[in-house]
Amino acid sequence: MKEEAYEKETTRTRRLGPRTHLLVLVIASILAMTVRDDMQVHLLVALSVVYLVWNHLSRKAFQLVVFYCVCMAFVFFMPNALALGTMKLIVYTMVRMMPVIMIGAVLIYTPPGSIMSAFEKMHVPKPILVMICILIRFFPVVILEMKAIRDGIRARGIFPHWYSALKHPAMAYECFFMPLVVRCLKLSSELASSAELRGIECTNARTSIYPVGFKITDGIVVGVYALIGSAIYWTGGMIS
Amino acid sequence: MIELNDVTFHYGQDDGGHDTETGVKNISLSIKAGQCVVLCGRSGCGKSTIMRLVNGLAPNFYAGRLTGEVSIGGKSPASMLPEERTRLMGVVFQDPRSQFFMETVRDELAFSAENIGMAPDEIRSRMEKQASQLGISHLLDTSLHKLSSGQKQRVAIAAASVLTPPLLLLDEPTANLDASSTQNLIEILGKLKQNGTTLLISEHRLVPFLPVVDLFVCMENGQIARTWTKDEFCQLSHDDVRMYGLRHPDMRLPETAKKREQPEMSEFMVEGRGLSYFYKKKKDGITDINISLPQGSVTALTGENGTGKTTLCKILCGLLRERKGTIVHQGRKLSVSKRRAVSYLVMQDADYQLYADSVGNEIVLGKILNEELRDKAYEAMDAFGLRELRDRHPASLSGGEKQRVTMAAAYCSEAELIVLDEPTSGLDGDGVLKVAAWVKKLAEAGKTVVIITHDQILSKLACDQVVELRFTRDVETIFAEPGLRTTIETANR
Repeated sequence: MKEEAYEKETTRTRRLGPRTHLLVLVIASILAMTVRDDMQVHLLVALSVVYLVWNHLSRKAFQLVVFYCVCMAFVFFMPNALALGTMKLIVYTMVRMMPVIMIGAVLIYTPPGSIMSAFEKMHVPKPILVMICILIRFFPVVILEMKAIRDGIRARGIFPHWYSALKHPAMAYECFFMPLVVRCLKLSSELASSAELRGIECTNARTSIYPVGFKITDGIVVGVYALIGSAIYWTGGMIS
Repeated sequence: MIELNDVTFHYGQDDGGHDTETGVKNISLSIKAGQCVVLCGRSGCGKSTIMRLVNGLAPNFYAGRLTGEVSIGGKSPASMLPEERTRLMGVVFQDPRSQFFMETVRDELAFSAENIGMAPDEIRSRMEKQASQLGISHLLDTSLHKLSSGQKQRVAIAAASVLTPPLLLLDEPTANLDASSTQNLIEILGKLKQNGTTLLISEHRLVPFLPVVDLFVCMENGQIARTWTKDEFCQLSHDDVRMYGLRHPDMRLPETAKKREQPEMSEFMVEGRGLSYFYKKKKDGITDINISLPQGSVTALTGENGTGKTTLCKILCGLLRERKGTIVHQGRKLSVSKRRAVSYLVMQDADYQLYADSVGNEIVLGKILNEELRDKAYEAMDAFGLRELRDRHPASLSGGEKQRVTMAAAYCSEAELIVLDEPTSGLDGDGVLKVAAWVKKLAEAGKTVVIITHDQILSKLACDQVVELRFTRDVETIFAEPGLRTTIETANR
């Protein structure tokens, strides 16, 4: 009971409007693309961690930091050998985009309903809105589907050992993507029909049970993020 | 409330080969406000089409030719504005997974109301009222993916009825529910009916609905074949309904399929001793389970949702590694990877387990093709009636056909232990009889079969022993259908 009350409390206080997240995401992307030094990236990541924690996503923040460190270690300690070069480049790009990924994570954990309402307030046309909503809704489902397919393959006993899939990569590919395509087609048609029946095409303005307004707190948060972000940008040359 | 006046509907993009969606012919049906009507009949008899006509998805979403008149409260559903339609009816789909839009229960319940632009305060109060009425108040902040099937069904109904629509449509609501969740569902439907909601339900399991139903409408080949009131339905014997392919508690296998020697209690058996498994996240699992499965026998594994039936089967098949206990086959301990190689778990949804480009290739997938295997594959196709379908792409088959393909693949494989997960959910009476016959075929081929099922009719028809999992620690001795005796194994949280 106590836990439930706490849950309610956090859901109420946690929510910055989705537009805040979007603005911060834009700022973070600009910064991530313009900074040059690794040190600046570290600082930006630190700033994004603060943002995540402030949005009650400490656990996600921790996971992403660990992931970031692993990637960094990979970039630093891997030799520049032939085959690893490309791999290293990919990992390094990921490292550089980490601040954006982190803010994106906040957006993913925002209720899709409130994102829809926020976009509607920004006068985004309805078809695009519906598309965004279904897209957000689709990702977790596809991940669940992929897990179910993996279970299905294992349950048929086609690849009994962990290395069996490596022996027949072409078959493993087919076994995985055939059902995924079939399932996605089926799911998307069912989702779309259910959306239609539940009034997604209603012409009137949508409401949301979450605050979608842009309040003083939101303004301050965006301002502070932009301020610290630009400070990091200007200090860039000095540190190294 | 609902008036169908000489309605005929043909699906538009009929590309010939598909026999799954034939539409309906000359339907005249009138449902008064506050009534509860259950549509029944064979799979593909047109139940879903009627549901689609009533909710307006046909011909708007599913294109086709419509003649005759469909009206709900005096208006045609296809020409209604989205707002109007959302307020007028709630729809619960067969698979709740594919109709959920949001992350948490709270957001899901609010979705329709948000769409029609209701004031947030009113949404909240309606949501709380509906949640407490359906007993899901404690789940409001839970992620939808973490709910059990019974809970998902309840959330889906709550989400569909949060606007208190005068009409509620449910498509096979009990397909994935155990006996107690079904009971629960019926109580909920009873409450909604008391509040004056008109209910239109399409279903294969009919008997559980007796407390709420006013009229059974039986369909055949796209037409209404019979209607029964509740009292008339109670009088029917299996012979009366067999021709319509309905389920009946007295269903029996034809005599020819029935004859089978009882498997002897041989030492050739798979035996689980003291099996335990714990899920760290959910903090539950199974403890100290003993189970023996004689070779060539069929075991029904029953019990409420969440007692660990699937967990136990995954351990038996080597998909999960047991925390404690051993699994012994012919006196020797079986390792996880060995178990995986000699077992086959047929999942409830066949889509996840069909990978090849034709039925024939599907059956021999992953094996080196030689004469012997080819013969065996043909034998499997004959046994499951798939000969004509052997060049078809598995994705183009109907649900029942897909299921048959996975069973034929199991028949053809070297797997000695075959586990079927809810093979009869969503099947009509004919389907249940067929599955029972196929299961016997698998057992005759020397396979050890375990069926996870809530379907009492199936366990009565096909199984040699019934093992029930329960939450409590009490151990009871069970009845065993012909011959074998076991004890009820217990699971506890």
